[in-house]
Amino acid sequence: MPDTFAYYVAAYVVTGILFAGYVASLAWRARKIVPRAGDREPDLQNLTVGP
Amino acid sequence: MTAPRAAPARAPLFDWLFILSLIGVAGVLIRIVWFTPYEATQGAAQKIYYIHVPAALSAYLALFVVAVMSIVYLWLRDERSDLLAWSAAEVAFLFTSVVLCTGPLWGKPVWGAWWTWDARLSLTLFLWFLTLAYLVLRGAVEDPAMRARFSAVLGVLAALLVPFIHLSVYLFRTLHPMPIVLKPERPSLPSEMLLTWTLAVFAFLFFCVVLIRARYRLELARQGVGGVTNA
Amino acid sequence: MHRAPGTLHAALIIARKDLAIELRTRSAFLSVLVFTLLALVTFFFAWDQTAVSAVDLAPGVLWVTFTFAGLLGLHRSFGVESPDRAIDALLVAPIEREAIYLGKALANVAFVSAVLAIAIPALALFYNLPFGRTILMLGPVAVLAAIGLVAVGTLFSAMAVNTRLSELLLPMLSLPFFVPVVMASAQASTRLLAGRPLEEAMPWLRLLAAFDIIFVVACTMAYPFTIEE
Repeated sequence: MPDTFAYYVAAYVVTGILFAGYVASLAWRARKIVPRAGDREPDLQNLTVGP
Repeated sequence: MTAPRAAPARAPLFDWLFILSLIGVAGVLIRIVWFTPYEATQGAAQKIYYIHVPAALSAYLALFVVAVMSIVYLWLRDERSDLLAWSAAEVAFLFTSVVLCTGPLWGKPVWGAWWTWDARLSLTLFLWFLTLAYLVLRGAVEDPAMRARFSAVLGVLAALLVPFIHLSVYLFRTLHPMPIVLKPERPSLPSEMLLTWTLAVFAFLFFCVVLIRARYRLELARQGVGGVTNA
Repeated sequence: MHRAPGTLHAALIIARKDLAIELRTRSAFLSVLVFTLLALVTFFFAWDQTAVSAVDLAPGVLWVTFTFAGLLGLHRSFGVESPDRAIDALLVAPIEREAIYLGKALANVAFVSAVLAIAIPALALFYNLPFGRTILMLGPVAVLAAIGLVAVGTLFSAMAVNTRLSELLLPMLSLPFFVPVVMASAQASTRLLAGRPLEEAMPWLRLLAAFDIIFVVACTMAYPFTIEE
């Protein structure tokens, strides 16, 4: 039993790292969008209609 | 006519559904680790099985989405099906990686070898390469319409390839006697373990769907902003 | 009034054009041929003759070599159209888009077959296999393998040429598809060369034939999607 325990732990750790890594990459990519979305807020005082 | 468009309201990525799926996965893992007995012959390593197979099923689900969305894109040319296919492909890459890591970690203590070219692992290796090719292809094409078309073509052809890989591996194994040690492919599990296994399958499938959804929303948000910039 | 050529006729015209270009310079053919022969030789020197017999090793060596040689040749298939966007001339012509694909695929089959026509006897020579038997057994397998390889490779070559990293992308896309072809060819060849009954090789040959039919049709249908304007 102690023999195989290391494999068991390794499997869970690796899986955890892969999942956490992917979720983190999603969060990271989402953060990069947010500031740009903010820039696009319409300025309601100064709406212009084209020529 | 250059009135700036309002930023589209972004659907949140990590909403309550996401949290729920995380709880599901965490809950199942806790159950596996602390509330499921060890199996007699394989010991601790058998518990890897509770991740390995559910991850494989999730990968197949994700790849099914890629294939279907590829066909839908070629048929309807709706950009959203392309984005969904891409999202599913990324998630599929994640899950196939999990399968390929846990497989050998289970195989070594149980079968004595890191890699045995068994049917599932071999197929998963191919799927990993195909998914990687899909993602690299997307990265290599700049024009979005061309990228979508190329990816969809690859998605459909890869779906056609899968039965051939399956058949090749099957023929290879049956016509080529491979040394089979003890081969617990589908162990008949006592009810307690079976329940854990079933819960694990559902938890992983749910997590897979939620991840695809999150990735899809991320991409919609990115494209939405990109659209405004180009306006 | 000059009638536009039908699909097959158009494909043959395009195939002839591609082969004419190749015949003029012969550079791709020669480099692929040299690569193939060198690979056959290199594998020979990497092999412990007491462990594995020639008849067992040779088919595997041939088909693996064939895969990489095929990739070299395929890369040039649509590559010739890149300078000055020559492909536009083909796209404007009053022919079915599928004819472009079929024409290039036919040219590639001719190209690959020419390489194999030299490589298989060379294999027999270097690995001490009986000439007549080798050519007789490997010939048909080679035809089936060439069709499968070219069907998929031509399509991906059309796609890869439009991307950055085209030299990386063509192998990445194609090799997973080549594996069933190589596996089936090698397995069938080994059995045939060793004199085993045909029934033993049949499952693999059937797999090859099925692959060829399905992927020739699928890739022909997929090609128009890769060049929409």
